[in-house]
Amino acid sequence: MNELAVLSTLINDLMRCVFSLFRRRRAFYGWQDSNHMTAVGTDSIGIVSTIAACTGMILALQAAGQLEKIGALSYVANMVSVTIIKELGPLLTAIILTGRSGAAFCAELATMKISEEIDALHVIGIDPIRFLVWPKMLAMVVMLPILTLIADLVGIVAGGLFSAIFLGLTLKTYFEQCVNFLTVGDVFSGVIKAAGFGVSITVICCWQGLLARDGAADVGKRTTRAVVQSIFMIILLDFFITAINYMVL
Amino acid sequence: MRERPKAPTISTRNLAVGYPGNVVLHDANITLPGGVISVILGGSGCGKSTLLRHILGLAVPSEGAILVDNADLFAMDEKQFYRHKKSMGVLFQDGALLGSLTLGENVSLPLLEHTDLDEATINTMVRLKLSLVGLEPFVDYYPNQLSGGMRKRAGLARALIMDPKVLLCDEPSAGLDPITAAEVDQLILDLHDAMGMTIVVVTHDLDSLFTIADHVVVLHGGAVLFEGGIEALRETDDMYIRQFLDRQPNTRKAPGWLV
Repeated sequence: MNELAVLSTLINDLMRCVFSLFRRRRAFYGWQDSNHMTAVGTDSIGIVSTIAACTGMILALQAAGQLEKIGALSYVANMVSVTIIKELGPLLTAIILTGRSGAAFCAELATMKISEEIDALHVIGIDPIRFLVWPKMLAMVVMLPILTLIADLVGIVAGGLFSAIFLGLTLKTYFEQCVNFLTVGDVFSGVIKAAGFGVSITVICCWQGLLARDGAADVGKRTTRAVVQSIFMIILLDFFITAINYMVL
Repeated sequence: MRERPKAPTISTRNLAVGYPGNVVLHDANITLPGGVISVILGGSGCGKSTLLRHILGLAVPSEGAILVDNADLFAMDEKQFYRHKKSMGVLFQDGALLGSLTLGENVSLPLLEHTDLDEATINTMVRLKLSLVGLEPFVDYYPNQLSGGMRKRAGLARALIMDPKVLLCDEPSAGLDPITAAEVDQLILDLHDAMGMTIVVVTHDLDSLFTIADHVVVLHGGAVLFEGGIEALRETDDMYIRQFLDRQPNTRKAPGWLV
């Protein structure tokens, strides 16, 4: 019950931060924002791009194996682009960021909680949620959709290059198929999904971090829990958002 | 000469503190006099640090009240509570410096949050407070590059940056070698002489106690066992306090197979 009370206080405090988004803030809060944007966004481009490129090529290869049997090899482009834009782009990026940044958020807050740094912020008169959690939320909600778009682009291009080199498709045919088949709505739904994943990863990982109590072992336990719960929540959210999308469109 | 503002007296009235299902201190009526160094003494787990957390406003008592110059801490409105926080400096057990910020940034945080001073003035004040604790050359170091004693002194610099009227220290000499512990004690005494603050120190270090204390509160078995001056403490006949001060172990019966 106490854990749920911490969760509800965290969500309440984050809502307060949303409502005071355009109010004047002390300049030093900007340190945190830019540090987190860099850690979550810029520093993740390499790993997100590499995994997206591999996924694009794997999808092209798997699709070609099946589509070749019915003489529809050019549909490899549709298969790759739709799967990446609608599903795998946001999902894989969110899972990578859960392991990379979500775990770091949880471990950081848990360590700060145990070493009384969060208490020290309270005593100084600095709201720890605004100073520590809000910049993480901002970084996730802004950077996860941007990284998703990068993953989409890299995945589709990698799939195209692979198809051109190994499957005999021309790049022109591949990209024409992609453009003809995809809509802006598809890209947009992926981006919205990514933003939703960003919110859930931040809330779960920071919540688990703030629950830490009993020394170093608890940091490990909380971090594991944070990653498992975040991935579970991402998959669950993905299912619901996809279902709603399917029913609406 | 301008008269120094009077440091506030902190008192508790029928206070009960602890966690749900585990009240560690009950019916406590303590007075920590203004402008005096008070030491809260007691064995491990007697509720010293928990009492400190309540005085800091980090936890709400299950019963009773904490008064700061007769104003109930937990009946204050947001503005009063903010003013109270601004008037307090706290030294946590391991300094509680933010690991992601340099020493200078750590010490400047309260000024950045509560004042509109320009960067140059803030830098000057930070260097002044760091020089007070002998850490000016380390302004750009991160906490993990410092020793335990240095982190404590840096925590003290941060606690002092707003020129507080009350300084609360949680086990300032814990984990330090005797020379560094004596340095921290001397620093507390110097600060008290220079600034006339109300200083509350939670400790179970007897050397520290006899060096710095003017007023002592002893907690034991969930209650206040003693409150008074350091001389009265030396002369008390209370069995637990005598055992504590004379560092005598509890008598335990060894298991039969060992004898």
